[in-house]
Amino acid sequence: MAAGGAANSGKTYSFKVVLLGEGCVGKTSLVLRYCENKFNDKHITTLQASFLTKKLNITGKRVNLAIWDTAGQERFHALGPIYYRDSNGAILVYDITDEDSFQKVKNWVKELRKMLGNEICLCIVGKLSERLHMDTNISLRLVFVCSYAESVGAKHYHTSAKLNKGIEELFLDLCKRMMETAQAEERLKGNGASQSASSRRGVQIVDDEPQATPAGGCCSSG
Amino acid sequence: EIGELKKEMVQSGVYLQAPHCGGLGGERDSGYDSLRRRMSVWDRLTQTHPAWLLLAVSEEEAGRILLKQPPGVFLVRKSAALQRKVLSVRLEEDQESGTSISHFPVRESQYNQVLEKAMHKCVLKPLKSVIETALHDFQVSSGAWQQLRENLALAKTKKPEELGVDGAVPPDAVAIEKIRQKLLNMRKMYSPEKKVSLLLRVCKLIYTIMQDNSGRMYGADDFLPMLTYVVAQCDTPQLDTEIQYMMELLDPSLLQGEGGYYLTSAYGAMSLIKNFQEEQAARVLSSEARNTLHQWHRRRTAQRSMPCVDDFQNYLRVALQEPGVGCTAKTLVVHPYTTTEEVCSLCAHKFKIPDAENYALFLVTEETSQQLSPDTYPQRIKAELHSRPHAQVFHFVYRRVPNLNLCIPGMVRNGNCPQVE
Repeated sequence: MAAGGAANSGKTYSFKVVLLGEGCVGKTSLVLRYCENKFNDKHITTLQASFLTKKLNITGKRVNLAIWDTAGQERFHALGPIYYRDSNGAILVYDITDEDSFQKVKNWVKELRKMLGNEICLCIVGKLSERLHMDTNISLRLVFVCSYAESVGAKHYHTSAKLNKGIEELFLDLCKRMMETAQAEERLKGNGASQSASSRRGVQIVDDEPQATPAGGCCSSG
Repeated sequence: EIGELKKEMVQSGVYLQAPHCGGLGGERDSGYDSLRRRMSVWDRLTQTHPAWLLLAVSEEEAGRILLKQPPGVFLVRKSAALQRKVLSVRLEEDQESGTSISHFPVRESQYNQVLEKAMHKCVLKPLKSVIETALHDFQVSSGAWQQLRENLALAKTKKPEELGVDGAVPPDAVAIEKIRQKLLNMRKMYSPEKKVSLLLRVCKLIYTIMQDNSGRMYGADDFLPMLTYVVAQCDTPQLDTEIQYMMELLDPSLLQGEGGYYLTSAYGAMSLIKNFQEEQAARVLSSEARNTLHQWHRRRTAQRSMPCVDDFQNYLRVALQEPGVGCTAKTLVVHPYTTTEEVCSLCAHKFKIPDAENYALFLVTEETSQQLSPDTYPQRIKAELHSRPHAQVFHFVYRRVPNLNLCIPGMVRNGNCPQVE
């Protein structure tokens, strides 16, 4: 599933995106705004913001996003790995006016690269408080952050909860990058694709004794 | 013609997609018997022209075939009337109606789910109580059960804010009792999917209470601490086994969805409670959670058929190596803060070693063997080894220290005493 890619021979992509960042930087509101009014009725916990899904259509390809929110408080940091495993993408959110929250992002980047390598697409998002104006300090700071993001192979965005446009862009771009990664992986696998499909199967039964199996398997019906 | 079709199916990796042809009948293809020796049951089921795919068989014929078979055997036929494939399955004799065969029309897109369900019913249902008892006995004998109960009891005394809840209103005693009953009901189910959907209902209930009291929507920052609080209040140590059961047996494709998310959260909440008493729990948990998850992940993706006992957290498998006798291995309860010294005395006790002072714990890989100094932590070493991108094979070996005279105690204390063999 880490390969995450196309389930049905390239028709639909299913991606898992994990949302990381210090508590209270507003990662939840960011994703809520993005998925607003697009809740899936099938989901039991409709209208909750911890787990959200979104369907997209990008250049004729269907994309299903599953967005996993995480608890950002320090005491939950250790649980990170159980949430980000198998993720195709990560959105790392910090508050532009809070140096500590950016430090946390840097720690996450380090950890994600160590654990998941380059297969995971990273987005770093600076949240801009609405009261704040873009002064010179902040602009300078953003230049610095952008170059950091580039150095770790991530993209940087800054957005306020009011500006939906930034958020749309961010997700669209992330999806495109995840698609590229998945396609590259598919190409690498080449003909081995059918094998990987079977490894994703729900039930695995492996014979211990390949030789001299008695006649009549468990499901044969004659 | 049949041979060709089979070849095509094998080559194209078609598994559950039935060929669109009517006249194949129930003949077995000639290559089937030789194939079965080289293929797993599942591969046979999915990649060969399967014995259960009998498209031309009528309902009456299906009945005749299945009546001679034991319960659980099924076939797939095509119904002209319904214009659909139908799964006919032999069940236990029904006393009232006298029938023992059921027919389920199947939509092509549902094949996987139907088969998964059938497998659960045929295989998992009879095994459920055995699995449960084994897991429970294992937990009890290792001491993990007792510890979990103690930790739960301690966590239960904590106020919501002590577990990280910040502002949201927790469920009251009545709601907690309701959730507790639901969690207890979960134990009766054998289907991992059903268990997960019950878990989702519990989560929904918690959300509803939080939301009703505030009118706002909550993300993980608020939900995870609340779930931890609720799990602690419910005081049902059995939930731990339930979570393991679901994580091991849920269809992997569902692990990325909503069920997977809340299962992960439940696992997280349980981990927090399990590590409640440990000092500086958070820091250790990171490597430990990584360790467990790494192994779990490998198990669920790399076709490993059986989980080893030592894959679970807080256990360490140690082999006793005696010259001329070979190896005996035991699985020991080793917590993250258990030192090598303590593990050694545990080994001496478990392996009944009279001259324990001559023995030490070694970390053995393919090329090296390293004596561990008494103040190191084997679990942390294990976690570190597992977190490396290219995991090496390694073993913890308890054995006699060679050349005792050369191994000065001070040297051992100061760190590693490498001995390449």
